[in-house]
Amino acid sequence: MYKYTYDEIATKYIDSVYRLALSRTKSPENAEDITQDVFLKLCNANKKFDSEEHVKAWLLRVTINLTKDLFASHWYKTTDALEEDIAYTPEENSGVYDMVMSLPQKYRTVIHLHYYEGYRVEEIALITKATAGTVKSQLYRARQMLKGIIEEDEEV
Amino acid sequence: MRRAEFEKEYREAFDEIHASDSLRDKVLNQKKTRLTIKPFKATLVTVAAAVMIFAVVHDYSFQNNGDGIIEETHTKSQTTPIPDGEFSAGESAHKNETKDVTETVKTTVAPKKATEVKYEDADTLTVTEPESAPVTIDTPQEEVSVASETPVGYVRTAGGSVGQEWSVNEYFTYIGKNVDMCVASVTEAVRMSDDVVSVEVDADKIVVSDIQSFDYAIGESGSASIRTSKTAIFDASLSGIVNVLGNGISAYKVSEGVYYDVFATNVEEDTVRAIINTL
Repeated sequence: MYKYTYDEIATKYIDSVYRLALSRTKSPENAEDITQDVFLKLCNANKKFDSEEHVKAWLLRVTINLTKDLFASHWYKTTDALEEDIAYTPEENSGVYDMVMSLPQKYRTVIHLHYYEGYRVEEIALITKATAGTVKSQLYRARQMLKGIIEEDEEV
Repeated sequence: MRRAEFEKEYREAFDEIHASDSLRDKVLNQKKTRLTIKPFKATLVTVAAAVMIFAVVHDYSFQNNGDGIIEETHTKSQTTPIPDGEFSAGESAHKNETKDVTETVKTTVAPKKATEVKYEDADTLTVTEPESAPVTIDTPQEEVSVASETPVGYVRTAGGSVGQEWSVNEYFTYIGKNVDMCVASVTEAVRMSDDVVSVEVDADKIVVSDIQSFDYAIGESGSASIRTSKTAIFDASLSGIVNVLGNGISAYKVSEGVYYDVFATNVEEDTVRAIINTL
């Protein structure tokens, strides 16, 4: 069993959780709320983990679940949150961030987990509770869409 | 752009993104806050347990709007004269018989408030009050409204792009209780980016293919949602099951080839069940 303190885990993974929440919600405010809720769940869960990797995967899994709950919430549906414009853009933006943020949410998630967090297809499948086949298919489609966006940009 | 280049630029973009200092403080401090609340939780639990024990002992029913019957048993001595002719030899002609009499006194606790709400059908909601008890209504009367025309809704994806129009047959809102329900006869495919998305409904199954999130905007302010994240076939015989989520209650139902989806917040499970049962 992996022994950890809350402070250690929170300090180490708060950015990872926040980044995934931001990539899914595209809103810094929602991402902050989600992040706080994720660590509150860690507080309350009193969970035992096998390893540090297990902790991180659990945190990311909970982040995904809480963003799904957010999208389903009555508040989210009745506020004008589903705008096409991207709410947040990093200062140093080569355009790749904008391109990925224009993808549908499920593709943004697999792109982020694969290219930023470095997870393999099988690991992403465990985190997102999908099959490996679905993750592969989503990654493939995401790349195709990005390719299409890049080619359009180059034509312009 | 090559994959390695894409990965590098994507990482650089996200490396710049950090949780703010205020968020860090909140996250690190919430553990300490939780520890402080613990003793109060224990006290609340103890008080709640004491109340329940009191209720059980005194047969106090919370279900009956506060009706309760408290039984108290008293024993007292009662002296009655023995009728003539019943003396035994050697006994005085006048004798009183003393015996203990047990008396049980039942005290009824008056009901506090008794307002009954019935869901008769999708069109009407009846709020009735019992005739015998005085009733104080603190909340305004609630009504059900059903759109008389057939509003046309539209689908928005999670990314915000507008999809194909769905025809929405009915809009049901239980005002003040945040129950949004969309009734839709769904047979057409909706495209979301490159995906083909469809919901097919027949007598035995609901086939939902590759939908991320659908929002129905109905009228000016109503909304409802259907969501799933993979191709799935739902057993229509499981329709009507109410699921309590962390932030609300959801249920779906198929009835005569029509798919109903409900998501409710600030509503009791029984209320959603009652609404689903009217479909």
